[in-house]
Amino acid sequence: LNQIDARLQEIAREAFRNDSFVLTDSMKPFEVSGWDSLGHVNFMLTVESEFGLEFSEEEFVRFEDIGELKRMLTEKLQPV
Amino acid sequence: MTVTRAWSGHYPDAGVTGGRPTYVEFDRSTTLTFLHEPANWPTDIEMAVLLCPPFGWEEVCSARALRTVAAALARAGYPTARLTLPGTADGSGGPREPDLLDAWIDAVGGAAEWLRQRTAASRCVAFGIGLGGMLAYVAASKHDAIDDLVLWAVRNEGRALLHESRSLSKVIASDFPEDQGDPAALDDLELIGYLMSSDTQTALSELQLSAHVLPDCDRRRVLLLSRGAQRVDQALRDSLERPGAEVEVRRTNDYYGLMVRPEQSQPPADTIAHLLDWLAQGSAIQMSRPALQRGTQATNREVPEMELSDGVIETPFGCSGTRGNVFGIVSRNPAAGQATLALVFVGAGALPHTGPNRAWVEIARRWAGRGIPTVRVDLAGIGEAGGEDPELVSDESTYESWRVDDVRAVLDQLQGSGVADRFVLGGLCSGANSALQGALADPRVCGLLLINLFLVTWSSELIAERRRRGPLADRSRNGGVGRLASYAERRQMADAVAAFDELKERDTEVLLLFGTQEALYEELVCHRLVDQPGRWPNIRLERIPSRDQMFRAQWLQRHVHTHLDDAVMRMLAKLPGGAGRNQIMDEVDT
Repeated sequence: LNQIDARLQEIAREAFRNDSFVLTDSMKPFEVSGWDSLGHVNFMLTVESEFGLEFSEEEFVRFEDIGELKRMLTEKLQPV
Repeated sequence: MTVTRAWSGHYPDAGVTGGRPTYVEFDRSTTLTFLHEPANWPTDIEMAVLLCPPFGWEEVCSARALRTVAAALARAGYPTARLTLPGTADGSGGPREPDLLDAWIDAVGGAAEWLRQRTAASRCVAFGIGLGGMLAYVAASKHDAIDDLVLWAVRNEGRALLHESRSLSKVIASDFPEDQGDPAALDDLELIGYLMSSDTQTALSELQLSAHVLPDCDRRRVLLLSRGAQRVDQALRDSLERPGAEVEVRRTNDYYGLMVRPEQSQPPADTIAHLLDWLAQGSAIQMSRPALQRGTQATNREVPEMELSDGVIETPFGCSGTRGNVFGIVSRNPAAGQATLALVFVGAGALPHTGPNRAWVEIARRWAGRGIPTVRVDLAGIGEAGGEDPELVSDESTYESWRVDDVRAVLDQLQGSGVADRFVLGGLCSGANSALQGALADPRVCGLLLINLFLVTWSSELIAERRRRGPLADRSRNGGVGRLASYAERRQMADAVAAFDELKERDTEVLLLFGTQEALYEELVCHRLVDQPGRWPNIRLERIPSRDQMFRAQWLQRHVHTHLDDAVMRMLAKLPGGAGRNQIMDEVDT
């Protein structure tokens, strides 16, 4: 999980062009200063590309917080 | 005056930055391009560039900035043409055309062929972004006019591109409930003001670039540009490197600055530098990678106009403006005879004639088919108009009084060319203001179509106040708001009353269309200016069930079309004898 944390953090800093961006599990997208629509899309597409997976359109938009995003990621990364 | 088939207007020299609108006819279709020519043509053109735009919201955001990219390439000595895809912007047809994906690919190939012949360039580079890059790749596999490729943010699979487009659309729609899609059109895909038919979706989802073999790949150069941290598509890279193309991968950091919002979009300076560097390297490499062997050249030719269905033809329009050339497209039906009036739509803010704003194109073609010439114009700094000062897209600039002079110059040229003697002006937001002020200044204007008019006269104080106070709905319910209004608000209301009185005096028919959160509408309500029956019988006020200023959802666009059509019919009916309306009603009925 720590690896996922670190990679998400790195992607978020790139996507939102903020080197001091710190992701926390309780952080809600769009409620964070600077988390805009285009940045969100950039962030999510980069997550998909980095982890080699694809979210559904619902998942793309509607996750409660970063903790939920990490849970979705972990599930998708588990071998079937 | 008679309207002749050959457009007697002129298109002023657009210079390197503007690009010359050029219709290219090949096979069965005609494609609109904008050709940016070097100021001093080199004797031997090594490379010409065909710029293939992205699709969807990214096209809306980047249109003006990509004009700057093309201008920069032309300045460096590379003739560059920007392509308009069929069914988008001012291109032919609509989004429900059959085999649209094939039409797009053919348009890229045909335009590349034309560009090579027009410039006598040794090599043609197709520079595509998103969908434009996918089309460029497939076109290169089918047309030998394209040698090299620059692919920015391009996916190997159409399915992945659709996923991206749907996801972006979903994110934007989550802010606007009215954008949630049209239940009446379940098979079609709505993408932020764009429509993609189910046929096009199916064709695109089946598209896989690596399945298309690029002939003579070892003679080709390809630049793959990433976007920020997102790597280039590895499958795409492999499909190019394996057969021997010279592939270079570079990272860019300005993609999202280009795509952020239409009014904030920044020309991608770093990417332009990458492009110029890569193109310059091509001169040295050409010896080892000779241009492709060309087959028989396809027939293509530049034509002065584009023929559409219902007898409509379109021609570019231009006239000199105060701060830059005005650009426009004239739609008309030469068989319809002398027109009673013409519709002139003034572009809004930074929005090009595509996506949510393609409504103007559709309305123009519909009314032109009915015999009413219709012109959609961009004033300086907007869309395809001249004026490179970035200040021209600021809110304040779009309300400056010189724009009224430019609107009148458009009317002068249209009248001088025999298009019409009377006009209905229309526009959205700042375009509505230019139309309103144009009507107040010019007696030839007999009707107004004003959508989401934001201000009657510019007031930075009132705008700041509106931001601070938020919606006025609660205040209006409580009544007595007029007494609490600021000086800026009262001044705006006084200007509105003066304008409405003047329009009544002139018997100018007016449609005011307001969304659900339009500040000016709320102020008019608070000042009890909308519930005075009989005070302004020439003005009809209608509401649009949308919070946003532009209309992305198809059902909303249809809603607005209906209001505009009804208003135009009323305006025609007011012409002497109602002859105009009767003639049009016959057209509509048949």
